[in-house]
Amino acid sequence: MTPLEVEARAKQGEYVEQKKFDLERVSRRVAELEKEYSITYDPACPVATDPGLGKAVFEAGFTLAADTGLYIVEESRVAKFTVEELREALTSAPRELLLGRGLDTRVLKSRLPGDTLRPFVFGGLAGTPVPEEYFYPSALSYAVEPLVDALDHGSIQEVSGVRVRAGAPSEAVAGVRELLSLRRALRDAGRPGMHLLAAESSVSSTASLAAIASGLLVTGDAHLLPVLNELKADYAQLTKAEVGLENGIIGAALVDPIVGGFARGPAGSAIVAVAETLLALAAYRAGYVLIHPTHIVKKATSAPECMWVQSAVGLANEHLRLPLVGDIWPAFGLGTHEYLYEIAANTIVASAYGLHLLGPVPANGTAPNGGGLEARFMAEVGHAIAEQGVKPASVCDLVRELLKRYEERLKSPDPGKPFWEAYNVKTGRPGREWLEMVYSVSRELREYGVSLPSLG
Amino acid sequence: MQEVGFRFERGEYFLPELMISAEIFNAVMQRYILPVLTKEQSGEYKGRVVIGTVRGDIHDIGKNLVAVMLRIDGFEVIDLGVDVSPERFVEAVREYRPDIVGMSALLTTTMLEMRNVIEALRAAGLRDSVKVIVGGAPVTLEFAREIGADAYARDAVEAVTVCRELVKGKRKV
Repeated sequence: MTPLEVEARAKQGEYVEQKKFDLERVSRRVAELEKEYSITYDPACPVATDPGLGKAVFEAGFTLAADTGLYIVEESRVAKFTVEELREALTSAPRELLLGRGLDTRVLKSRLPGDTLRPFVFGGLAGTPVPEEYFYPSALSYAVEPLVDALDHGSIQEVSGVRVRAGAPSEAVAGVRELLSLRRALRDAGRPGMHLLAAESSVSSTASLAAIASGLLVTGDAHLLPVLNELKADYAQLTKAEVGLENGIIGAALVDPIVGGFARGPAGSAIVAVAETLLALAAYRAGYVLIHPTHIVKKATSAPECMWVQSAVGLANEHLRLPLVGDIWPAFGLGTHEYLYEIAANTIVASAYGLHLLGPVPANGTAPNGGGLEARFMAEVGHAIAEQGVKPASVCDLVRELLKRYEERLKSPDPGKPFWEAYNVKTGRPGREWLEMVYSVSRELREYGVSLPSLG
Repeated sequence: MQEVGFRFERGEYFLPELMISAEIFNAVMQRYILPVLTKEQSGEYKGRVVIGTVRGDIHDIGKNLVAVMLRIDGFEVIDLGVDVSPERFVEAVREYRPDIVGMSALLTTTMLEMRNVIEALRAAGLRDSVKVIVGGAPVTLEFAREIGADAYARDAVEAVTVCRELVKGKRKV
């Protein structure tokens, strides 16, 4: 199956009004599957602890993908996939990928819950709007961190005084400038071959296609292919997928069910996440998958409901066996203690349940209020959990303890201060005040048995 | 509907329940309640709002939430859906004569369409006949001021409060 074949199939598919698709094909079916497979969320614990849950979530997600299919927005029609096609897409998906080039090549392979394999670390502001003048130094601050394996940085919103518009020349220029800044940052960090997940300025497909056409996004790199909420795709994403496959660019599928939306609660969102993962393999031929549940009110992936979804998908990965990446998107930002507690809690869950790590992305991705030091903090927490071979369900108490320090304020978080107020913009290194705060929270984590070698 | 709102807050109900409840509520209001009550007597009817997600943007969850909350509060809401062109907003203002036009965008690249809608209303001579409120994840108060909107709301709850004030003619960004 190729994206071109998906387009052809969509044109012949059943016409369904979008509202009917959302309410009946997705939401109602998800509710039925929750009951059929006895998948429930227990708010008493922010992680899934039932060992049988992984199989149930996998099977319910597979059934949803096969029953519902992928809604193609422009056609208002559904592209359906048979059980055999979904099984084939899953079987043929890569379990191990070489990311980047030369000395900077890294291996991204499937992890499982309780795995002692260190999680792969994607650092960067991942799509957050960053002013062009600060794009290079903030990218540099992540690239110089030794534990960062790959870069997924922000987006550029204004080029030469023109606000970037989807599908317009401004988007193409933003994509090219983003990649030029990233390449410069990688060269200056002495890691020119590091894997890039870009162009994050690509809202439609234009910036991504411009970056590929300019030779700036190349074999060994990846671009983002979101599955639209819920179980939907559009021609921009299918175009990116098609062109990417023809040019050796890896498709990084973004699976971001909205918890409280059409995916229903955490239980339904876990089912939807598995279904969307399978559809991304079938329609986009994705290489790896980012798991990013978003709460309809609290937004952050550090909300207990979202961490539960990540943990449930991690358990389901026993049956998928894919390289899954947990997005770490806190609500707070640079200069706040809560930001660090959120990173710690979310990272402990992701790492213990077999996900790789991406972020941390502060302020719910709305402001460039973070830098490379926090990526190191996230990496060291993730590595510590993996190296200890922590049993996934055993993290429940620790995560609950950390939640006490930020959960109540998730609905009105302090976004913190911008990168350039806490970091040296020439070197990309953090200032003393922020460093001290990170040391202080690291010492607290050590008391809970999570030791961070360079920070604690 | 208040109970539905509480259950949504507590995570017992989700967006589909909110949408379906609001549809039932609205249908009952339109068919049975409003015809027998004058607007003044009922004290319920707050005004008419035309709402939509701007051109190039297909995200509708935030917009749907605002529409639901407005309906619950007694506003009549004409929902134009997603990917709505400036021309369609103008056409709807001509057709429905609303008190308020509400625009939503999730993307920084599509929120620029809001300015185009305001300019299209101005060009059609309709700008002074309606109040304009904008919202969505990337939208800020500063942006609302910059494009000449009358109001901005951070979330669906605030949107209801602001729309009430707009109808009373109190609010200006």
